[in-house]
Amino acid sequence: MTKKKKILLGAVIALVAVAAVLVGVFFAKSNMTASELTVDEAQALIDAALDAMPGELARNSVKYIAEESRVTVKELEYGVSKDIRAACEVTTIDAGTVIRAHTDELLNVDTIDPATGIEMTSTKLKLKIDGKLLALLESAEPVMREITITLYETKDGFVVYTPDEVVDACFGGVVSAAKEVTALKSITVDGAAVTVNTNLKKGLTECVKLNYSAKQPDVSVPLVKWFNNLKYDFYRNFIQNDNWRYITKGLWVTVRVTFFAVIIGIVLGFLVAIVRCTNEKTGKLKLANAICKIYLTVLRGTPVLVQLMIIYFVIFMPIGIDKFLAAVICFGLNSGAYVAEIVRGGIMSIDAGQMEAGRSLGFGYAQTMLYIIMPQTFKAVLPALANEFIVLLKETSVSAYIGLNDLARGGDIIRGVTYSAFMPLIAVALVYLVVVVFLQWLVGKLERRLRSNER
Amino acid sequence: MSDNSNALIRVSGLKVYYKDGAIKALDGVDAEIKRGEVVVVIGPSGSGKSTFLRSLNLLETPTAGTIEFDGVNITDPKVDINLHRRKMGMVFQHFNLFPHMTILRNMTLAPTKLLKKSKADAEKKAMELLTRVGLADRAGAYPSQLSGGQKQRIAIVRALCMEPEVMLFDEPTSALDPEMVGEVLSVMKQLAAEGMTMVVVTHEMGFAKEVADRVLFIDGGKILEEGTPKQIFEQPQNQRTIDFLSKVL
Repeated sequence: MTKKKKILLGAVIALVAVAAVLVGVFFAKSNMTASELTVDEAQALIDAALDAMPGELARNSVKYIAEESRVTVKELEYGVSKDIRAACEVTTIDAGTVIRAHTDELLNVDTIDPATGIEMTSTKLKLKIDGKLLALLESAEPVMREITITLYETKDGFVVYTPDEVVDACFGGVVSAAKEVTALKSITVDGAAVTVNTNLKKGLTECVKLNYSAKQPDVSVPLVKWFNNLKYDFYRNFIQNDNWRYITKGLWVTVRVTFFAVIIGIVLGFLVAIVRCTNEKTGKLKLANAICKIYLTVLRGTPVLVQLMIIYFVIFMPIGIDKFLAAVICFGLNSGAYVAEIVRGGIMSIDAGQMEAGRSLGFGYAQTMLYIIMPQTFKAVLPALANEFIVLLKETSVSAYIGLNDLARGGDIIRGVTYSAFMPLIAVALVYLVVVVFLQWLVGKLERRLRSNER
Repeated sequence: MSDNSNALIRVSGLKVYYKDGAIKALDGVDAEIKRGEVVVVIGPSGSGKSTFLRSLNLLETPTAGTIEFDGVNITDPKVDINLHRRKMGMVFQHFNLFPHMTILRNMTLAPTKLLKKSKADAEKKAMELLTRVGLADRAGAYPSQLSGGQKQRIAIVRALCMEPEVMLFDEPTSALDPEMVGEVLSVMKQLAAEGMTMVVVTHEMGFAKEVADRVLFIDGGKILEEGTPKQIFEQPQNQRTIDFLSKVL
């Protein structure tokens, strides 16, 4: 198969996949309106849901509120995601206001221990509060409100969605009042502030406790659900707390480390290669050649991770040089060794006649290298060099080991915060991929440009 | 050394050994090349004729002996050979044009970098030379776009751009297709007619007969016979010369 055909085939497969997803989502969407419901049916469903709320846990006081509350469905409206919104009128007693106004009395502490400040068993306290609260509720004013209650059609039929605000409205504001009481730190007893312990607060909150779930019923179709989960995952991993900045900041660090390392690598690599070739051709620079050989052996004979840790933890950290510089120098030195061998091969591949031609015109060895050999070498080794730098870009990801916040580490930090591996790691991989593909494209362009000169 | 003023290159006792003397490419050569003279060097392959030519501008390092160029002993390590090479143009068997440069740049590189000529001056001179060899229209082309004969003509004018005092030709037509040999030889003939001092290693006996002032026959690293083309080709004295010529003529 030719390259063009392969690309075409890939494009067709991608198109088909995208089309399939679109059709799937469309199909799911078109199937998402709820079945029809009469006002009476809705009323019955809502009544049943609200009646079940006080349950066995609730004390008399809440049962009293429930008896005094009435929800009347006025109108139904159909939504697009298997939901029906019921406009309702609620008549109830203003329990919230009563509780707020009388918190101090309701939590009345009648025996204060001088040592601890409070001494009371919670059971005793609850019963006592119960009676007092009931009396207060009986004298409270009735109120009327309008609210919207949503019903969802799930696999098991219609479910009334009862978030806190709906329950609060239907039960005279007890939910929010109970929350406020729970948050209390102190109350006033006989004009003196007394610290409230957990048991005391429990007394009241248990009196007004309702049995309901504030979770939205699950009406999603699998594909949509998967998509929503993905969306949520994306939100959690990147949008929330501006987590995406770990990726962008990391990329910036990675790009800078690579950039400076490439510069060091090129300069060092070309120098070493020239020293080695000069020695090979003319026998000069013996000492420099020996040093270069040691450098090449050590740098190419040990893992870059070990080099990085030695450079940072052994050499740089004790004298207070930062991680970034350590990484730049380590990867620069490391890449220089590989570049040197690539360039040496390139120089050796240039016909000896080129050097002779240069010398015969009167150019010195260095001048011939500069004007004639190196430009040709550069062109010859460009693909191999580009490959080396793409490898280098990816290799910098080990700088996480010295705690440098590069791109790979950025993804790992997000993973540590959200405990989700898929999104951040795939994102990091994608970013690396995009950068590498971009670099390859750039190098291809440069190569074509250089080559077109000679045709 | 009475005729010192007339000798451009004087070679004496030149020896070039490889591998510590195991291979004796040149084994004691004495020769003199006068100004304006065209000297053709012939001989069987491996005879040392190319080594002789390449030693003249020190592309081969002599093991012993001296080479005087324009009165200066260029084998002296204290002499800057690069300065003298500027005055010795060289043409190679395989052209050795710089593939990454245009023809014009090939020709102007050395004059601008070494003689510090302005770009305009160097290009003017290069275009003149290109016009002379009929390749002015290829000034912007790259070497790979040219035929072998064209490449060799460019190689000749590239050397001429440095305004050398002597031109060394190392088998300039050996790598060419037969139909392209003529165009290169005609440029060389033209050059000889203008009075350029030339040393030519070649197998083109016709060229030697027609253009050479003097012919050197080298074999086994030694000059075995030298004389005018008439002497060498019509009345060779040395047995090896006779054998060689009987094979090539």
